[in-house]
Amino acid sequence: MTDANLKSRRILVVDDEPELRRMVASMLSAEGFTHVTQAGNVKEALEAFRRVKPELALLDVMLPDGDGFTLCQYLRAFDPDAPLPVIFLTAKDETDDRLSGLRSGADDYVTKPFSPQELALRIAAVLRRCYPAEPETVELADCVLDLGNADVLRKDSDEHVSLTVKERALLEALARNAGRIVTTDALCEAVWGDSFGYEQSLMTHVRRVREKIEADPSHPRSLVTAKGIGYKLIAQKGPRA
Amino acid sequence: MKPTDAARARQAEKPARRRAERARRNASAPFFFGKQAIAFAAVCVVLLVLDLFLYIGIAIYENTQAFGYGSPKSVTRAVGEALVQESDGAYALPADEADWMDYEQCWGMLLSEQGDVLWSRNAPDAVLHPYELSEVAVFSRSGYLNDFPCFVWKRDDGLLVTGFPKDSYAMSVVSYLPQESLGHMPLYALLIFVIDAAVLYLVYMVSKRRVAKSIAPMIEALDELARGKPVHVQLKGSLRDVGESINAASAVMRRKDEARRRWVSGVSHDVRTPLAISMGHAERIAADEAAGDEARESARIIERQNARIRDLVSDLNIASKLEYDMQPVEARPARIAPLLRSIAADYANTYPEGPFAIEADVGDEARDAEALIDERLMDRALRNLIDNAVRHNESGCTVRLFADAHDGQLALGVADDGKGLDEALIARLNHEAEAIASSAVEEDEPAQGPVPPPHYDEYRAAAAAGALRTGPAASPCGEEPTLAPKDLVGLNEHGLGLSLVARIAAAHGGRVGFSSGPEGGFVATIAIPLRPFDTQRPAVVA
Repeated sequence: MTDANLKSRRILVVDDEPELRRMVASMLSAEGFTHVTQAGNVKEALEAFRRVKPELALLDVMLPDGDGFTLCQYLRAFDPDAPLPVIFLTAKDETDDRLSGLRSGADDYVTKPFSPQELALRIAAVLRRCYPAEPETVELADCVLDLGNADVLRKDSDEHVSLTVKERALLEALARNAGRIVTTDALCEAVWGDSFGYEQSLMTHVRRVREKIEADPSHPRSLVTAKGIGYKLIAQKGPRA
Repeated sequence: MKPTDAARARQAEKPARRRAERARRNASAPFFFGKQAIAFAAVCVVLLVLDLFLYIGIAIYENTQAFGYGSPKSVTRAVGEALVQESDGAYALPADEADWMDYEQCWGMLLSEQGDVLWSRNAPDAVLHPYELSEVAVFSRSGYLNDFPCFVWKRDDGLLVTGFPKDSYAMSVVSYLPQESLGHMPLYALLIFVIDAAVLYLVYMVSKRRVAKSIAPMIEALDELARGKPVHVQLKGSLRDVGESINAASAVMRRKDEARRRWVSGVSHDVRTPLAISMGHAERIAADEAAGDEARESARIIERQNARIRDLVSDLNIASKLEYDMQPVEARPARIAPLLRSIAADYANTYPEGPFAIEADVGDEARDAEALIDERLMDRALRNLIDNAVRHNESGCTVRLFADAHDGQLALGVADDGKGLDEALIARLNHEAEAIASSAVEEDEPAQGPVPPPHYDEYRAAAAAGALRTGPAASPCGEEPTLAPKDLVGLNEHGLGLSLVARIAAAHGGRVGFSSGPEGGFVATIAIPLRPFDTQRPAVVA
């Protein structure tokens, strides 16, 4: 999926505070999102939902005529086969809210006050996850990654090198967050589905991946280590600008 | 002292502290009961004197009754004195005395020296006969003549005998005592007094013990209440009302705490939306290349200050929850390493181009170590420590998040290589963190109960022990410790942040310690008890 594709997704912003709604909407426009609809309460939200068929909803938890969690369940019930991705905006930071929000099927959860940039990143991440993209290609310093085909095209030799399933999963997790550090725990979770006890295996896989994607694996330029924390993929051109 | 040692010492100090407290109470007991015993003895003496006066008073009263006007003796005497022998040899009683006899329903007779009846009035026939000497002796000794209570009066010409209706008087035999016995009387009185006093004392002791036993729960409850903890007592008997009052006071306190917590949480909730709007616009201007440099710089300042307000609101909310909530900590067994790494990643992603280099350093022992933690609180504590490092080193530094496990303790924290703090200030921070930790020590379950605010008494005690004078700046408020909550004295100069870290550490049954790094910089270490490694989970290799 290209960026343009992602940003043409229809987004519904529901919050009872008009200033906040406008701020979020204008921020999303500034980030390049082209279809943003606003609603101030449950009633407006339902009308807007029928009218524009949003592909992602940002919901405030507390609305004048109902609560966001119930609205979320209601909106998702419209199409059980492809439930609407939902991100909650809330002024509460109690754990109970988080649990109750995630239980009702939210895809993410942003606590007010939030940085608009952070919100844009989360929206993009949820959209990517919920609307599986066409096979992605990511250009790195020494190669071009074709994640869809699990293939690496090396720039130095023009040779194709194929990736194993786990290597591909690892690179996909990194590419999705290109430019940002991903913790070893999150990477283990992405590759093995569990973060416990896979650290050594992860290091082994990173070494093998570097041999495939780096011109000089001992001085990596694309897959860099964040000391003690995790790894970061530096893309020249990729799924994320 | 290493943080682990400190934590162990703290555990050991818990029962010791309780013992000292109990000893202090008991030590004041002998003095209290000594005073009681003196008061008791005084009461006994007063009683004795009172008894004596009462006895004398009663004796005088009875005497008047028995021998005063209207008594049988006085009637007998009056008759005896008024009865006259006329010239004709016959006896005559003046009308007044005769009426009196009638009024008293009494009869009389005069016996001659030989026992013959010389005169009689109203006397029943049964008694009107000559008397032998022995008969006279018997009735005057026993006081009864033919079942009539009788009295006698000696006259020159014989013996006047008066009789009263049967059952009107009970005659007591006047006994005799040996002279020796009379001499022993004071001794007997003393003996009786001592035995009485002993019995009274026994009764007093038993009742005192009972009272002490029945009010013990009340005193305990009041102690708890003084510490700001909710109580519920069920007292029996006459103390039931007191118990109910204590419960009511506790409920009022709890309601007020709850109201305060709700208020803080409500305010922090309401602040978030406007803050989000403000942050959004500031960020937009800061990122807007069309805006002037000055405007963008201003926007960045607003952004930073907004972030501070956001953190402050969050801290305030958590502090209020820790202080007033019944169950502020939702501790679950969790690995600390992923939490540490995710926080580090967050900050590293926030400062990709510097000036802050964020590192995570999880020791081998701590890699899979689990502890009972409330992740949200621990997350807040670690972020506060990083924010502290960032705020005090504007020009940049390396911030290292570390975790290590040894001796059943998990030590985690934040170390920077920045400007650091001077030793006096570090001593003061440590002292205040210590006070927060020890106010949590008194909880039975540190991870369950609320963390009470530091009390003035403890502060005073610490001041008296000289603990506050560990450095030039260590006595922040001069000679006289302040009444102000400690948060406002020292830790708070560093923001609510560090004080909250101390509270969160305490709520996890641990504590925070501050020090300088080996090569400068500032190190904050949170030490909490480690949870034994869970062997149920499979360890996966390659």
